[in-house]
Amino acid sequence: MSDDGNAKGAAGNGAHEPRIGVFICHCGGNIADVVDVQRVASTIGKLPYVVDASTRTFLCSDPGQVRMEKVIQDHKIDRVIVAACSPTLHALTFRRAISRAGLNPFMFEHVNIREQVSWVVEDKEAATLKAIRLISAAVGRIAHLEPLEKRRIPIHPAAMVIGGGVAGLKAALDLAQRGIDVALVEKSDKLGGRMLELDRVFPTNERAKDLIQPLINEVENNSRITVYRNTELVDSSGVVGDFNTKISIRQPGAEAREVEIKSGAILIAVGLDVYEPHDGEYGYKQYPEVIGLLDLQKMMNPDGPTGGKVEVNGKPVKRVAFIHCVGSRQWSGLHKPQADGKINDYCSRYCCSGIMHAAVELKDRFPGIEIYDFHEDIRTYGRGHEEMYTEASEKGVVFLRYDPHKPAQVLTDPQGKAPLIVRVADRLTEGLEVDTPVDLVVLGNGLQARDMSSLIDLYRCSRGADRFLLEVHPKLRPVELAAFGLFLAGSVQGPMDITEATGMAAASASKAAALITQGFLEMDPFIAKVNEDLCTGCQTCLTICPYDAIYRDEEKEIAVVKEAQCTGCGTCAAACPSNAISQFGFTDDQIISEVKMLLGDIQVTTKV
Amino acid sequence: MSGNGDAAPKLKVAMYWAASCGGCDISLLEIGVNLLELIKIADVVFWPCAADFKYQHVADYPDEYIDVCFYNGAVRTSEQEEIARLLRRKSKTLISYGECAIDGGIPALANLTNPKGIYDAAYHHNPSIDNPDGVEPQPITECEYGELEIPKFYDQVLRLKDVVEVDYEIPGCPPQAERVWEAIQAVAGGAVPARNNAVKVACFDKSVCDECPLEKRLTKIKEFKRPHEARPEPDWCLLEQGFVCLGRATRSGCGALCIKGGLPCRGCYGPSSNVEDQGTAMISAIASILDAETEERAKQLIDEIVDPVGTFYRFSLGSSHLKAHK
Repeated sequence: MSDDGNAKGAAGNGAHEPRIGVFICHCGGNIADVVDVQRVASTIGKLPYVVDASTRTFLCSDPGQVRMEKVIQDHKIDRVIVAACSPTLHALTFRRAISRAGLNPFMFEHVNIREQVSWVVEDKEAATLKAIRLISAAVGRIAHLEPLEKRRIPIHPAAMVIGGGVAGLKAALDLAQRGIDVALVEKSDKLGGRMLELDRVFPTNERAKDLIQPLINEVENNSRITVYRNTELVDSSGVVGDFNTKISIRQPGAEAREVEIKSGAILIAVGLDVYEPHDGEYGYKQYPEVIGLLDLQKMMNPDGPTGGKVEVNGKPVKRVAFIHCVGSRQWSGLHKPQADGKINDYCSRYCCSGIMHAAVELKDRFPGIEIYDFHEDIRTYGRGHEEMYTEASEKGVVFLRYDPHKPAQVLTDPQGKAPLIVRVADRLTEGLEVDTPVDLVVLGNGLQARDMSSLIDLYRCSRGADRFLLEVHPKLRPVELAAFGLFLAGSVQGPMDITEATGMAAASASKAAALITQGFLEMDPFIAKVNEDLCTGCQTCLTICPYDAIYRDEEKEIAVVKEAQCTGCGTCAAACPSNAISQFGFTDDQIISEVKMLLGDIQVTTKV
Repeated sequence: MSGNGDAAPKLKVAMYWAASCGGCDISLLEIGVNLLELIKIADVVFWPCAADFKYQHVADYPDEYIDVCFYNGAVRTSEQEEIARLLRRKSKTLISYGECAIDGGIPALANLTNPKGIYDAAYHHNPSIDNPDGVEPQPITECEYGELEIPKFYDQVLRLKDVVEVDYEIPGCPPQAERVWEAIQAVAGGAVPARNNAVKVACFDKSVCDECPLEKRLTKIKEFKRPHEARPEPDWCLLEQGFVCLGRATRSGCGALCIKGGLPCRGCYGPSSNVEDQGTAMISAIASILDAETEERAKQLIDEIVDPVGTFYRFSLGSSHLKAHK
């Protein structure tokens, strides 16, 4: 290919020509033992606009950087290429160095000739040629760079927490304790969420109300927290640092009133749903003796409808069966899919421990009660949970294990001695079919994501295949959504027990507080920009932006990038059929000339 | 001529047709009653389609004798190149008129094959051909008067600007009369400098969506439909409905004529102002708004598009990055 485009043509009418400085690092012998750096420097030095190409043993060292600054000034270099290690290691180092020399830190290209060349290419000639190619490409690209500035986005010093369950309460309190004003919006008329339905909670066996009520009181008495009950989310606009959420508040005997809440960050703590078995699943809704684990909690609660008595139709229960994994760890083909066609193939993570906890309590409170536990597996993985399992075994709970493809069956007792039997091929006794007569069957029903479609639409939340909201990275950014300024607090993110949910809520509050107290967000300048004269307003970009970072200016009938929201992913720039969107740092000119130099003819110096 | 000594000298206008269908010549007539205005301000000095001029007439004109020359059609043969060079020399302003001259137009779709392929289709393997002796046109034929020579058939279709310097370009297949008349008036009024570098006139910078009245609902494409297969829902963007409408990647100026008639845009004004390659611009846009969660689904959807090159490059293959068949 001998296209005359290459790096040339970068200097527009009258603009002064680019002056490129290229710095090639030996990295001791890491690079120079394989790559002939002198030949690289000599070859690159002949490329258009390159005014100086030199090598250095350790460019990142203090003397290396000082030397670099001097070369920049002596040669009036206006943009710099460093060919060295990985940019993740030292791009920032060199950006700072060129800033000190008076250049814009973004007039910089970093070429990785260590990890991508000397460490992986064995043949010295091939490595040298590859290094030359990569640096030439950078020469093509850098000739078209423009100085850029980092973006500073102010953050409104307040947070909104959606959901007044234990995670939302905890997150709101943590934020308030850091001096941040919080708006806590709750759909129902009560704070407390799911914990209001629970009696005792594992592993500490404390009363749920003894835990949640003080938290509610604390929130209600905190002057930094404004609680809105009976709310619906109506609309949302704005971006990180400046969210505006419109909520509607139901009022008895009056029109709903709308309130707009301004916040710098939003924490989503809407929790999850308990799996509702379908009619007939393990006899659910078919027999009155089949209930869910939460129903048992209500029964065992001394303040509950039965006054703490465990009974069916007024008759005390003497034999209880627990069945695990109801609505969890489902198999396609075996289990009925939900309305969206999906099954819950994940583990709900609380039920095994919840069953052990309930079994122990039943044994303690009702001496002589028989308990049978039907499971595929038992996963009491949490701290203090395995002890509950041990205690349950010690107290005489009988465990039966079935093949997940041949689950237990709940049937009426053919002999009429008990209301129901649970039939299972028990793997612990080599598949022996066992019928166990029982008075009560308790289903360890799992957890699933609730219908969050309006929330997802409002905030463009990303969602996993399991329907729960999805963090950016499970380990490195565990409570952040991909859209900036949105944080996940608790079990909206997946099945969790209370311990885990409050832990995640605390993490979420801490991330949100870090953002808010900083006062502003500094972001790389590599975002998309719309050329108003070229944009037709065809809205292709609006259809595809994954971050809701483009809107339509109805008056001008064109697309406008929300700078704070744009992540610079480049999707819109690639899609724009009018080429009206360009991406700072990745313009067509830059990319095309980079590719041309990568593939074009280069006169390689053969000997130095 | 008239005795009115104050009248400005009349413009000398020429129109030539090269590899084209004749639609451009007709479109010039479409200016309707304005033709009478045109005749008042201009004399036609060459227009093979409308009047009996010979090439020799043009050759005899002094250089830059013609004020404005409209050249329609692509350059497919040596004759067309020869006349292009002649007209360039004889004209102050040379204008590419219509898509064939500008971007190769429909004739440039022949660049998907080579002369051998074209001859094969035109003279041998074609249901409507009866040519038992396999006769093909020959550049030189002996006859009783001596040798007869026909123009050389080029290996590929070229644009006018590939062979001569072009001052202006009037896009469209064909250009819309209203726009053309505006351009003529601008030239007559001296509002445009004679020489410019293939600057597009008689059109707008933005894409057809700018003139399109249909509503975008920001939905993704669920299936592709061809115009004869389904009736579009009124008022809703045709592309979003699955009709391959090139409006988003096509320069405006036509007034969204086809779309207002219920048909998707075929892209006849070529790429919009900042786009080099109309086909890839449209392909990126379409690929971006497919309603496909998986690669497999995306492939199924894409496979529904019949004749992708002919669809996305119907008028602009001559200017595309695809270049030509070797």
